[in-house]
Amino acid sequence: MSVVSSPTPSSPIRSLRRYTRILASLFCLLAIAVGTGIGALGISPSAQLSILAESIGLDSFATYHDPIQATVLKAIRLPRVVLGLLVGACLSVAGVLMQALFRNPLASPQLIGVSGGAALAAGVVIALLPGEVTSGTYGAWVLPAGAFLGALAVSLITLRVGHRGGTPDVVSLLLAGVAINALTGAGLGLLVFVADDAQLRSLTFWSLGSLGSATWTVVGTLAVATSLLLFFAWRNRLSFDLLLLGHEDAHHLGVPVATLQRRMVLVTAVAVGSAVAFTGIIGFVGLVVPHLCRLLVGPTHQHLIPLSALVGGSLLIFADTGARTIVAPAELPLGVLTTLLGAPFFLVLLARARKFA
Amino acid sequence: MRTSPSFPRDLVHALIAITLAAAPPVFAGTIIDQRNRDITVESAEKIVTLGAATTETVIALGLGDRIVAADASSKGITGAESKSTLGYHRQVAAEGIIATGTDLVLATEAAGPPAALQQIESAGIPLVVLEQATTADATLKRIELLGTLLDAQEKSNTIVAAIRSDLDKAAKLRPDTPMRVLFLYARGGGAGQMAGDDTIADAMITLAGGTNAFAGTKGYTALTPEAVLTAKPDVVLLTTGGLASMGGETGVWSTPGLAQLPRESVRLITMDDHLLLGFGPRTGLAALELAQKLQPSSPESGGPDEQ
Repeated sequence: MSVVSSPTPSSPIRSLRRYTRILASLFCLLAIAVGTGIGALGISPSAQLSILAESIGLDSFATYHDPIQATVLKAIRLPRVVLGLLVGACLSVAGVLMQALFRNPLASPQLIGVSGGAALAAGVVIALLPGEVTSGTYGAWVLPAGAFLGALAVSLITLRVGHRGGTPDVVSLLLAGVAINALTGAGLGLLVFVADDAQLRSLTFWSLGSLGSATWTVVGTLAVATSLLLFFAWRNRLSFDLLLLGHEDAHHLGVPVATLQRRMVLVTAVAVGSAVAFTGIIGFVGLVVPHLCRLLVGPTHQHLIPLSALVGGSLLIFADTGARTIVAPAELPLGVLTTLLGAPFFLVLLARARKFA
Repeated sequence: MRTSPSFPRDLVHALIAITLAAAPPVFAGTIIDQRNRDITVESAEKIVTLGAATTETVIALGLGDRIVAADASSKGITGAESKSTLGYHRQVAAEGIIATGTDLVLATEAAGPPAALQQIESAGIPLVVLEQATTADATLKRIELLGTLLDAQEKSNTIVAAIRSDLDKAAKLRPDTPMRVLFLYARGGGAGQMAGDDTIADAMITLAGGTNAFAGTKGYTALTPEAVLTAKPDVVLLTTGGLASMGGETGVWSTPGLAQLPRESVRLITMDDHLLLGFGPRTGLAALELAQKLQPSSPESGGPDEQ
């Protein structure tokens, strides 16, 4: 059960690897262009250029759009595309981290209880807090703050229970995660029981995921969280490679395994907790994207981390563009769409991997 | 290039002026909405409504053709079927709403998410938040507010007067010993939920001169056989949709708990979903119809259902 389930880097893969980062960057630019270009409100390329001209002070060229298009592009669509990029990158790289931590391709941030904790806390906010709390001046921040704290708290509990004599033990961590996820599920069930009809629907929609709450403030918050994760992941990329050899071997090769594992859980909890807090649960990205990228560039984290960030961000932008245009003026739940697309893709990958073996 | 003769352009301008003069007069309705904000509306030609009661009220004010889009809960309202395109009103998409070209969004406190509402306002589209009415007074207030806002006071006064008179009639029908009414909220599978205090059904039962058989518990509670028997209802009240989801009358009377009620003295009454639970412009009609159905002399099963 090691992560090295992908084909070993042979020559075609090595030559492919040289170009993947460039290709992925182009793919990402394409995603941003498509994401900002398409939406319920038609904004032609000339109108977009005109809005850009206006934003940088070239007013004489800014005559091809009306003000409402500028507002939609700058205040609604653009923050949403950037949020998609950040959340996609965050979930994917967190997936890479978890798969390295558990040395298991099935691992995803969900396993340590991040999503479960966030969902439970969101349930408490929606079903138990009085309306005055959530409708005040800072009302819009109560739910994200609660969800973030829930994600963090539950992950910390998982980490604490998963310890064995000061060292996180992967099997205990895994089992603790399973049990704690079951517990948060049961807690959520209780909340569903006491919630009224409207609360129930709010809760359901929250758990289906959406980038609809994207504002520049949210984007800024998530930029910090995602940067933290990417910085941590990049700095420790070599240690992650060594972890794949086994914790014992990694330890003997000088990796501070216990500290590293603890930090992996903490950083994932903070980053994914922030993402989930604003977007709800967006399924399957953290599981599928690292897999896909591993097929492209092999298991070395130096290549895997940047590629996962780029591919995850791009795919989420594409998925969100679909979510907000397919049934416009309404919106499909993003988490449903990512899982709907991700799961069959994952199955195809599995079937093909078996054929190669 | 030769300057074109100004005659056609003048003609166009004149035509525009005539058209504008013939169009509904420009008005400026000012109201204070549920968030205590002063809102002035100068034109409301393309209205977006979020919430069934709001949609129904705008249609009742005779302005249904100005609605460009409504939320999913408005689907069942006559005149809004094809306009219900915006999805669930707690999870609307800002860009989708702006793309309808609307110049006025009428929402309730339930509408969301907050970020989307903020974005709609930042695009310069006036957003009115109305009370999520669950009492007759709140309903009347909402109709008056919308009448003022949309320059349809005459029509709103007529509706308000009609509701008041129907509510009076309903109150007069109140029997000396009010009927004990058990409202069942049923939606596919399962046995449904019983309406307790602080529910829309409870409010409507009271307006119609009945007493809620399941009073004493707040909100909705899942139906249990013992609770039904303890409630000792004279009447089991369902919406038409609820009855269908329970498998018709046969289904209702074979549900554990309901099956044990004395069939000879307990009646089953159904009413249209939106009429009974909407608290829209037909609130008076709904109370009166329910009051009539609750009359002791009323025929079995409460007579024909109105749609």
